[in-house]
Amino acid sequence: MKTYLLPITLLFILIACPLSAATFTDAVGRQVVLNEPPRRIISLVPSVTEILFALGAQEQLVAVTDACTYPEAATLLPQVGQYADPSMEQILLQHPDLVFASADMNRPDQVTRLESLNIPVFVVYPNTVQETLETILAIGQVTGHATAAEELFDDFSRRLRHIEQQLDQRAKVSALVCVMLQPLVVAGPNTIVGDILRYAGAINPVPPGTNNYPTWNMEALLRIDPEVIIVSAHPGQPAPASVFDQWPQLQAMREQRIIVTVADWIHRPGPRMILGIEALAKALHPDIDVEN
Amino acid sequence: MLKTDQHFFSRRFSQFALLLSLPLAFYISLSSGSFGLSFNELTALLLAGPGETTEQVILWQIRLPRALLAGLVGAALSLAGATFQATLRNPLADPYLLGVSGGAALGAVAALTAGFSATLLVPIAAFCGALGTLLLVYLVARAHNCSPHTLILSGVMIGSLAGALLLFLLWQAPTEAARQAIFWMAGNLSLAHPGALSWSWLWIGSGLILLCLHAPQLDLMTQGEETAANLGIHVGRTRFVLFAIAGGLTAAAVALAGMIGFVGLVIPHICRLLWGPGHRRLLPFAALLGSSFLMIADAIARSVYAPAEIPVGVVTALLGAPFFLYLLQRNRGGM
Repeated sequence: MKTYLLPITLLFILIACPLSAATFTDAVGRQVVLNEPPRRIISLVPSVTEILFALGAQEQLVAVTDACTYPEAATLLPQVGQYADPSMEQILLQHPDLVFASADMNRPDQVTRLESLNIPVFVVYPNTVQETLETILAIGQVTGHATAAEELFDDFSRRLRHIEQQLDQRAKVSALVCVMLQPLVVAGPNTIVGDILRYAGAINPVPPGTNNYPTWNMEALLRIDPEVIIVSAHPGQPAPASVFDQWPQLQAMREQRIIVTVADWIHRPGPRMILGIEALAKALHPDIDVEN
Repeated sequence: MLKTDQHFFSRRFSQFALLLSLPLAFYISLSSGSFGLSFNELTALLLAGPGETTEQVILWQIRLPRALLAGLVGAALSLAGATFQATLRNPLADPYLLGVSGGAALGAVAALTAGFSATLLVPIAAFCGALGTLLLVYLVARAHNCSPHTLILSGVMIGSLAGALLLFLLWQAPTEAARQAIFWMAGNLSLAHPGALSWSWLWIGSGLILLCLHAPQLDLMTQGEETAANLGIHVGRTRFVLFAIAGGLTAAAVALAGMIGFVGLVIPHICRLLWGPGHRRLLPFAALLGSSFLMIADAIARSVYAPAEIPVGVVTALLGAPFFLYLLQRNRGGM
């Protein structure tokens, strides 16, 4: 009798293993229970779509939103509506076994609604570079790509440390990020852009306030006169030159330090954020060398 | 006798205060912003003329044009509001009542979502949208000889139509264009093209003169169209002319600064409460008070959270509504 015990126990473990439910805690403290690694994922967040592709989880990804524009392959996937307003029906039609939502964009009632339909929802909410890294790790664990996520995490952190070492002992440069030019909307310190500026060795001249992206005017810009002006180029915005050429008094104009950066590199908390940090660090401190 | 004297003096005094308010508002507007300027500093900078220092550039190239712009827009909105209130015989009328806001916003947002940036084409599109809506309202209401009821109803309908199209455009627009459109709709005096001051002087100035020339007709219109017709006024034609002028003023204001609320509604009422309903006086007074009011409101919007700027519409309503309620409560006779 005893001789059978071991094989039976092993058999039980083998059967039970795929059935054992794994519990994860998402960014807003919700418990997400998954019975097995997800095979039909919907990403409602452009940065999560980027992370999933970077981790090699694209085979599990079945649908995205209209704002998921990177990588190219993501635009070929079925779309479940707009980033701000995904369609519940389109989500259900895809039979997802996991949906990624963001606490910035998706309202709590959308999350509850999906849950009530027995669809697990994992909410992400990265507000700093460090939280972006944690989000990458969490997504790796939830989707069964923990190793790839750790590799991405290590590479990202190593490049961050490299910049930190390069910038050690260096004077910081005052740099203003313009999210919009007309009207002039700037990034405050308590935003992910503000955090990126800190890593890139900049002082953000925007004082902290209740509005994270306050509206400024030219007077404030002339008065504060930052050394570098960074414009995140969104489509439909006027060319930076057409706005700044009228103000040759600006220090950044005189020294030709008005920089246009890829908006997604500094606004999307995903794997490409390190490119944004490196690009800004290089633009603010031209004599350092960053990787790539 | 004593009472009339008192009334006379208080009216004289308030007229004197109104005349003083313009230079005072101009001074407040020039001295406030991301940093304050004392009277002496301001005089020194003004006497020094345009120059290269940051303070000079800010004063001459930013604050001065903006103060003038605020004054012009405030005057245009008050004049248009006064005219619409008189011709429609409706105390709730404001420059945006007849669908102008919807039409202008539709024009501007169409230009923004089509990918044009906010420098030159957007104001032109807003201007055309505003005038186009007014023309449409007029064509519809003409069948009823432009009676106030028909005008208001067709205006509100065409306004909602424009609003629906606007919502659709915003829904399908890329996020950035939609954001920009929302900023535009909230009204902002920093968006105007620097060159815009030269033509807006002429445009709004001629609007003021034309309206003042029509002051007697406006007085008669407020009496009702039958009275006006009996006194020899061609009601339909006069209404069209007044409409065209007020519409032109509104369209200019909207093109310059987006949708700034409350000025056009409350300033004519305040003037009426303080100085009576005669348009010969009401129109220039409303233009003056509107100018000073918007200059001060804009100065506050620029400086309370400096270097950040709050929407000027917030300040106009916060300043205007309590003052209007106070006047309304004091003048128990009613409007």
